[in-house]
Amino acid sequence: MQIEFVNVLSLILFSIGLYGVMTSNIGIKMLISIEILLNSAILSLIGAGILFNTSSPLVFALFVIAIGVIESVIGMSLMAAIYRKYGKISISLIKEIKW
Amino acid sequence: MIVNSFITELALNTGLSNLNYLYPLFLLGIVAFVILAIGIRIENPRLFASITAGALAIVFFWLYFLPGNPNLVMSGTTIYNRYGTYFAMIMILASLLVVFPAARRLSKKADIFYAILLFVNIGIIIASFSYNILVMFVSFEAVSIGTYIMAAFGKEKRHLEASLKYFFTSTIATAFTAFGASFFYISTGTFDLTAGLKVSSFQSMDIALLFLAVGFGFKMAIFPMHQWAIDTYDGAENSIAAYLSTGSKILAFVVILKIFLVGFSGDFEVVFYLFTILAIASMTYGNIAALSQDNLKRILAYSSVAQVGYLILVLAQVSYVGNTSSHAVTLAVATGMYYSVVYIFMKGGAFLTMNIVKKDKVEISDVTGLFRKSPAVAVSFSILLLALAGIPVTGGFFAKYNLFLALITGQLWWLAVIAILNSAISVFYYFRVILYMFKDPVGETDFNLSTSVRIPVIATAFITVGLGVAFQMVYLLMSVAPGLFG
Amino acid sequence: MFIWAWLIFIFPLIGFVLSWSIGRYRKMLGGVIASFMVGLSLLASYETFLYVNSLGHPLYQSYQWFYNIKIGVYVDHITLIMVLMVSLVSTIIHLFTMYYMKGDPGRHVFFAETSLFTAGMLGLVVSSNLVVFFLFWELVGLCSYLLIGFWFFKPNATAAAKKAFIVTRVGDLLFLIGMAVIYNALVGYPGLGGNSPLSIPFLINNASSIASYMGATNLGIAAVLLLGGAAGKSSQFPLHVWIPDAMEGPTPVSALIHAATMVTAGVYLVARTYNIFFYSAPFAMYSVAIIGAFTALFAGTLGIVVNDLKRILAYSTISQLGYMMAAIGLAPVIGAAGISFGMFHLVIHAMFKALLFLTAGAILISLMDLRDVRQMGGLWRKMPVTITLFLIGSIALAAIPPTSGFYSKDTIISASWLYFSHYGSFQAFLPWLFLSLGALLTVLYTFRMFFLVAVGKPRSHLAEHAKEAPIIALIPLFILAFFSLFGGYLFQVPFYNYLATGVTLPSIPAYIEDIPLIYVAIGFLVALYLYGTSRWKSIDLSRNFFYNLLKWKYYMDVLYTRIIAERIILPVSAAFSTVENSYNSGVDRTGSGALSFGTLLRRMQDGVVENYFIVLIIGISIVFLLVELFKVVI
Repeated sequence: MQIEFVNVLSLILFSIGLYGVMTSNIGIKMLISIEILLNSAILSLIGAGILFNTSSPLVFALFVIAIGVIESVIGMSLMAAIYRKYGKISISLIKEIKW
Repeated sequence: MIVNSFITELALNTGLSNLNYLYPLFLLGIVAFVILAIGIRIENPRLFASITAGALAIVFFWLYFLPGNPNLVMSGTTIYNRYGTYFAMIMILASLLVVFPAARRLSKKADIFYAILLFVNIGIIIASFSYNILVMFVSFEAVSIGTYIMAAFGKEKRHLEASLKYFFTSTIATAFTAFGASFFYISTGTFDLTAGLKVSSFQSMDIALLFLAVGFGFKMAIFPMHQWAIDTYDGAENSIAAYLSTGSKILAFVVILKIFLVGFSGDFEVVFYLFTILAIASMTYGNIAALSQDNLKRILAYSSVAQVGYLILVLAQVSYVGNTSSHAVTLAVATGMYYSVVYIFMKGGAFLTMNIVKKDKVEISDVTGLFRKSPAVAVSFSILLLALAGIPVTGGFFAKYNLFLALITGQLWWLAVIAILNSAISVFYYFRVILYMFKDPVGETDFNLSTSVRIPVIATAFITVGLGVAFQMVYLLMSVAPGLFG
Repeated sequence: MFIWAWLIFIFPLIGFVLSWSIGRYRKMLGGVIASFMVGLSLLASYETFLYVNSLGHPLYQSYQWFYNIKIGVYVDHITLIMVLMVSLVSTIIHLFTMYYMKGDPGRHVFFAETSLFTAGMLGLVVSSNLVVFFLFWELVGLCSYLLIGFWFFKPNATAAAKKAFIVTRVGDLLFLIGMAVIYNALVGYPGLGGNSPLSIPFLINNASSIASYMGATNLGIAAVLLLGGAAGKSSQFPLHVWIPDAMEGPTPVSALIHAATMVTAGVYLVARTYNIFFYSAPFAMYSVAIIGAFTALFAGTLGIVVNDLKRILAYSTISQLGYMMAAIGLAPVIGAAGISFGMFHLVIHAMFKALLFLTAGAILISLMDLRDVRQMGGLWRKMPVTITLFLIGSIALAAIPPTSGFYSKDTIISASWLYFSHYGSFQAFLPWLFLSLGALLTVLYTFRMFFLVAVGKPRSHLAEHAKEAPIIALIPLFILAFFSLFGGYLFQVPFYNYLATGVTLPSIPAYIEDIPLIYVAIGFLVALYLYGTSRWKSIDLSRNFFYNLLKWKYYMDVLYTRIIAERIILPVSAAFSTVENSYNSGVDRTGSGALSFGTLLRRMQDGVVENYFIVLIIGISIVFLLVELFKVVI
């Protein structure tokens, strides 16, 4: 397998994720974009593991998955807290602290 | 007996040799669970604060008395040496600094806060010893996740907003880090930083460098990755802002030092360019943006961006000199170590001083007439600000002086000149705050001057001056500093 | 261990603490304690003087502070002269201040600050290492900032304090860089032998070998940087702008800053590190001479148009400091005698300038702080003792023979002629030209000031009702007056030989020697013609180009504040905040659009977290492109 393909694919995914975090104004969309970012990293790690035929990148990928889950959980609970305080989860409107 | 031999067996089979180095971490974890257990019945923030402080203090001394000779732990991913011990200890000090001030504003669920603080410290200790990107990543994330929750503590909308911004930025940084780690692996075939990486630099190495710099630079709030920090320090509870801007920031500094100076030792040219540009941008941006700022906490936030710029000059200098066993490099690393401890106290103290104002949004005019109300606090805060500005006799001066000296020793004259100019600019906004404090109050200003607010400020001011007097420390640190390179 | 040498600066430090803490409750006691402690340091100075004289060689005591910086005292003859002068003048000023500040509610703070100021100055003088020297130097700077701004309710005073602080900071920066250069060059010097590279005795005793090790040009650069520091403190051109504004502080402060302490620190620095200048490339010494001489002339021209009594004195101070600098700068020809000449003028100047400032203070108290000399007049009759003391100060300043000013100043001018006759070039002629013309201007502005203040009819209501200050307050001033009148005659030659061996008075042709005297006579007559009568009122110079040039101080203040501060530094700051705000405000207004640049800006509104990522991506891309660019280019 060509490592370049995996790399290019993961970079494309990463770019999509970046586009997502730059443009989404709703909290859930932001979380999904972050998941895409993390998944592109996981993809790249798995590609590296296959290329070198070693397990440590795969272990790294497992850790990233686990951390991604934890972050989603925290993100969701933050969203819930925000919904309780503001009545909406449009994070673009949360801009009291600025300048 | 049986248990003991079991543990030894386990240690041998899993690569966990030298288990005694991990006992402090176990202690912190156990105490954290104990706090959680007590917290089911009792809601007394001060009790939890005392337990936490006790545990942290024990670990602080425990780390000090652990054998100092370098030891490989956890299959060689972690090296216990004096260099790591130093940083672990000063970051524990940063936690100790905020333990008691934080208790003031925690009415509910204080047990969770302190348990998290202890967990965060576990992450910190591991990260400061590890030389493997995988371990570093995991422990660093442990710190990040803990601090998201800490930042969200509080009832105000502002606290939530601060935490939100911190959370989103930091998770994205996680993705960057993981991606960078992957490219690091692709170019080198290992996650181990000390593996003697001397492969010729090629493009994917640069990508790895960039992504890792973004990923870890976020936490340190280096210039283009700084925006969350300004808002979060402004919005979060004062003691949490103090912690975020000291403990977790110094942790990022430790990790960055290791990754870029050890991991990328074959690629110093790019490291030099990258960190020179970032340092100049951070210093200049932070200082100039703070000039026209009226919000006191944001002034401190911007100034911490500038301070980060000074800190990462260490990386620029080391990567410029290149020869990691030379005097210039040792001096620079020792300076970084000294600067870190001074920075923890002066910046942490300054943020804790914000507790005197009974508002969440602290304007610069809110400290007017502080000198009349409480000369001790006003003078202490002035000392902290003077230290940040780098005025002589305080630790801040010696830190900066040594930094410039290190730069000059490394033949980086022009960079030293830029840094000196920047610190000259910074004097303006620090003095502006001091002038406000020494003015007469216009109306009836009400300060919160309870003991729990006053003591940390005065204590940090004393320590800041004391660190200046105990300047000899740098020469002690110079014997420890080579530990950075394994 | 000779403890007195350390006590010299420790006594006023104790005085600072005591008068601050006790003075809070017993205001007057604060002043007494401060004066007493400064008096004790005069005693300590005298003990040290006797001891070092009996020792026969300089006293050097030090201990390791950190790494290779040793903290300690180094007392040689220059130091002795300085500590005696500083502590004597400071004691007198403290005594007078008890009268001057007697009604001020914050006077214990004032005494504490003056005490600390004196401590800083004395510490600076005795310190044996440039690092410690610099720390005390900064302490002095800080105290002067506090003291100038003591009456902080006056907006002028705070502005002046800020200005003094910022301008001297420029000098400090140069000093610091100079120290760094020396340190960096000497840290690996084989001849160091356990000494600190910044140790003063080491530097001045081994200057010639250091010069050959470092290279004379490099050492010269370091020396010029040190001179920059000295110029900031001693207000030499072009860093002189802060002194006239610093007159907003209480008058004893002006006396303390202008006579005894702060401004002489710069001259002392050059005298102290004299060997560094001497053995480095010739441009270092020449720049000392030319900056000093030019300042002497330059400040004199400004002094003749100012109307504020204290500002006239301020410009005269700048000018006289120029003479001291120039005297040291003449050393390539006259050798170490340059130090003797410079230091003698320094001491004499301290005496008569303190006298002038303190009498001016007495005048201002009686006139309710009316400082415009055009509104005074006729005060001689109202307050005879004060004005007589003022006259003594004035004639000493104007160097009328046989006052001490004449002895100290004319020697310098004569020496500068020797300098010219040794080299014979045009550049070597400039110091004499500047210095002798400066003498003319000195006489002119001194007697303009004196005549406007003292003779004629009172020109304002306040001047008509001026009253004599109490004699008891003036007693300390008689000591100063005595030295101003007879100091030169009594001490000139012994003083010169005390500082340097085998000094001879410069012998030059009589017609050259008389030129300054002729200038004095001309200046006196012009001043008498114009200001001894009321003719000056009928001269209208407001449209004269030169008058306006001088009135605007050669537009240098304008250059510094309007151009450099307002046009360069403020706009940069404003530009940054505009950039930030334009992210924010610019963009609520823009409507919805596609992926154009305008939309990009709209998304950059602050406070919205996703826009931060846009800034991040753009920022990091630029950084990365720069890195790649450098990699390719460099």
